[in-house]
Amino acid sequence: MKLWLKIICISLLLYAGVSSLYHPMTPGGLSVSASELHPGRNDFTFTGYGSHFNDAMSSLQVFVTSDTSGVYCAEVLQVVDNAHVIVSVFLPDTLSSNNLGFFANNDLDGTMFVESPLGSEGFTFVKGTANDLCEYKITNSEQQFFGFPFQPIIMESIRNLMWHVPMWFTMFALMIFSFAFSIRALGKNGGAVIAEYDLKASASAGTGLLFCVLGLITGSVWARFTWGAWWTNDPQLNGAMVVFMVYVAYFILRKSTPDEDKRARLSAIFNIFAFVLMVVLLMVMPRFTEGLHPGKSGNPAFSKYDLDSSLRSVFYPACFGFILLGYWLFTLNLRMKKIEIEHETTH
Amino acid sequence: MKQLIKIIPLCLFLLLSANLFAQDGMEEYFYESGKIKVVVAVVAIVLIGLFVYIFSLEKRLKKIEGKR
Repeated sequence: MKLWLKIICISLLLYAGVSSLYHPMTPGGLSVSASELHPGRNDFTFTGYGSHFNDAMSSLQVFVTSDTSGVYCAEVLQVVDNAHVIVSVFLPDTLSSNNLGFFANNDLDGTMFVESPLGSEGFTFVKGTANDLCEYKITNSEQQFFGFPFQPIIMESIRNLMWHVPMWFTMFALMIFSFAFSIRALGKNGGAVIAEYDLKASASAGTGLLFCVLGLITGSVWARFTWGAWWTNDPQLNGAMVVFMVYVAYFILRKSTPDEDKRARLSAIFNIFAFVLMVVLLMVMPRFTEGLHPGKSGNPAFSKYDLDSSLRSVFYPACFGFILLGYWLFTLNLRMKKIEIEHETTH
Repeated sequence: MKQLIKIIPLCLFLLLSANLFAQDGMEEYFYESGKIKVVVAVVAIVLIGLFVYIFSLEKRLKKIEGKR
């Protein structure tokens, strides 16, 4: 690997690693203290995350929605500090839905949103109930701070995007290399040329497997604290596990074939099938099924709305950086394998 | 270096067991200050994985160096 590529790799990873942890989160709603709402007056505390309730007190407004049509303004009783505000809201007997949402808005933070499943006793739910809309106006829908978007369950762990997802991108890149080398190995006739390409393919797949394992473990940890389980039945997860096992099988196949030429051809064919299987399981299947991974199910044309520009500014450098790192490790692995073979044949 | 490598699995087991003992408190521990600790864990796993790979490369290299 050329020196300038290494320098690019290191600077991209440094930039991505530092800024993935350094950038603040944009303000967001964390929770509301009420456990249930009832007709009449309700007092509760709205808790924000990284919010500026105190600094932007004059423009602060809080409202409760029961639906897109039903908005009820809350009176601000007391701003405790930047993160807590005590409000009181009057609700009628009839609501259009029990899907309650809580909004806070001010000049500095923009709109913050909390959706929590609260008990709602004593209400009559009539769909499309007309109600007296309160006089709310959103003074500033765009928040003024640069930072990663705050989302209720994900919270700060959105930063994992720059660590978990590039693992899979890197694995993909390395498996594409491996696939290309395997195809070229099959197209050659001379034994030495086949062995050369076969070595490259296996070195690339080996390094790819490292990133696959890292992706699986980091994904499992992330899933535990956002989806609530170490492993879920998401199509992407099961597909990734199958891909991992298929590539492990590739190495078992290599180990079990002593004849060099036969091994090269067999494993090249296996590798081509493994790559196709990976594309189907990780790229195609999740689009046809419902899963937990955001932006995966459905039409990819819409997924461009998923990624905030602040995330993109770090995510893409992280991907390129990790792919270059993967390539770097692949070259090291390949050189090591060559020395090992050379050593075996001479001694 | 060899001693260091021997210690690493022990350290990992200790970390793991500490987590297992704190199963009840684990949720709160990781949810503290907006789940930032999940990020710390993930970054640590990525770095540990890369270092394990480098160690394995070095081990292979040492094997050849030893034979020479």
